[in-house]
Amino acid sequence: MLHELDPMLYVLAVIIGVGCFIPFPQARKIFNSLNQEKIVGWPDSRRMLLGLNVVIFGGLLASTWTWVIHRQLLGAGGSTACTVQGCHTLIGDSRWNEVPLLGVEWGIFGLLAFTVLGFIALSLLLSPTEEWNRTWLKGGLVFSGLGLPAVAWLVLVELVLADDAPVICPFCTMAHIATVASFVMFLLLSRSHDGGDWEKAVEPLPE
Amino acid sequence: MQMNGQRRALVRDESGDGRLWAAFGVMGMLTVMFAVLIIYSEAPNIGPEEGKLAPNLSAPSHEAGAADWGDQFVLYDNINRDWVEGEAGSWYLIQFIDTDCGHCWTEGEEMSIMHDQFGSYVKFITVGISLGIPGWSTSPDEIIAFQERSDYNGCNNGNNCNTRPGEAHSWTYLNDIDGSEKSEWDVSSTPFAIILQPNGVVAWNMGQHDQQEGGLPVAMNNLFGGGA
Repeated sequence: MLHELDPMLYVLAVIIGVGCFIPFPQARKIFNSLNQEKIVGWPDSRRMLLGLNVVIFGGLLASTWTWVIHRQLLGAGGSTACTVQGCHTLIGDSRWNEVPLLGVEWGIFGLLAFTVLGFIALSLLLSPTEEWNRTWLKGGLVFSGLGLPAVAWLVLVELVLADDAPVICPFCTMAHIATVASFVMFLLLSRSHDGGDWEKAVEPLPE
Repeated sequence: MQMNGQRRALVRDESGDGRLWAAFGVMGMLTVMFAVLIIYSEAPNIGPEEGKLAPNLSAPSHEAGAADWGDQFVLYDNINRDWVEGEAGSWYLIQFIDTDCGHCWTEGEEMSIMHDQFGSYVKFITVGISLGIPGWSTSPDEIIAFQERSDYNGCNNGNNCNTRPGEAHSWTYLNDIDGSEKSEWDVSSTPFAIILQPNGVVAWNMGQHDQQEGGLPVAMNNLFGGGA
């Protein structure tokens, strides 16, 4: 069934998957085998920040892609960017593709939200030893946490509310995964900072 | 560098605040995203002309017999974007009227006949608008009375709506008196009709054909044959 899915879905799955994998200790061995000694020597918190940035980039791309799908549906009545029925049912329907109360497309909303998260995460990655780090970590945690009710609502739409439910829009699902993963990483980073593990040196890799 | 007995892996970057570079990075990413958007999005080809995707139509709806105006009808939520030529599907006849217009009044009977003939596979939608002609005044209640052919003085510029030719119209009526939709459909006079394919693409636009061609009934016959 996977082979029937759209190529961009593979790209997004790889980006978000890699982003989620980077914080794990096993990723250091892979970076080591790729001769990325600098990253191998990074503290766990900084490697998680790198993973967070990659995940957010995946979310940004997924949100943009849903916007592309919507524009194609508007312009041509069909979409080559997503051939799965769920995209048409959900992204092509203004009842479900607009943020309640705001009336903005979810794709645009996601793009803006991931841009803000990206700015926070990239700032932390580039300047991990500043006094403002804690405030920004908490800000990222709160801001990514605000995305969770949105994800819950959209999953409810997919599974219950939409016509012919349950229907799955795979690109929307990628953005949802990126949102939840961002929140989890901000949470872990925030705890790491509170617990005094922030920027703690890592053990050398075993020979 | 020693701090609390632990070696710090990183020293403070004295060359500048990372937030500045982060801003540049995020702007770069946004530029890439907009490039993706432009490259992959097909330019919207929307308009009332034949062959284009019809503009969206969003207005309060009224079903015959209902006490008041109901939910918002949204055309784009109803069309089947996956429809391809040859497949079964519900076509749309969008008719714009002003309840005070004489031709709309007389066309009421023709619409009843066409609905009997084609209503099983063509979804009829009548949009009540105001042409803004001095002396004419329409209202939501007048549109309902026009649709239901009920007792209400004011249709056709002073007549009782219950004398309108034809039967009560059983299809959906929309209220666009505020004119928020009609400009996108290039409606300059009434009655004005457009026939849409099930995927929302305009199949026939009254404004692109001479009246000598036979108008709406002939177009319906050409597209759908003799009907039901």
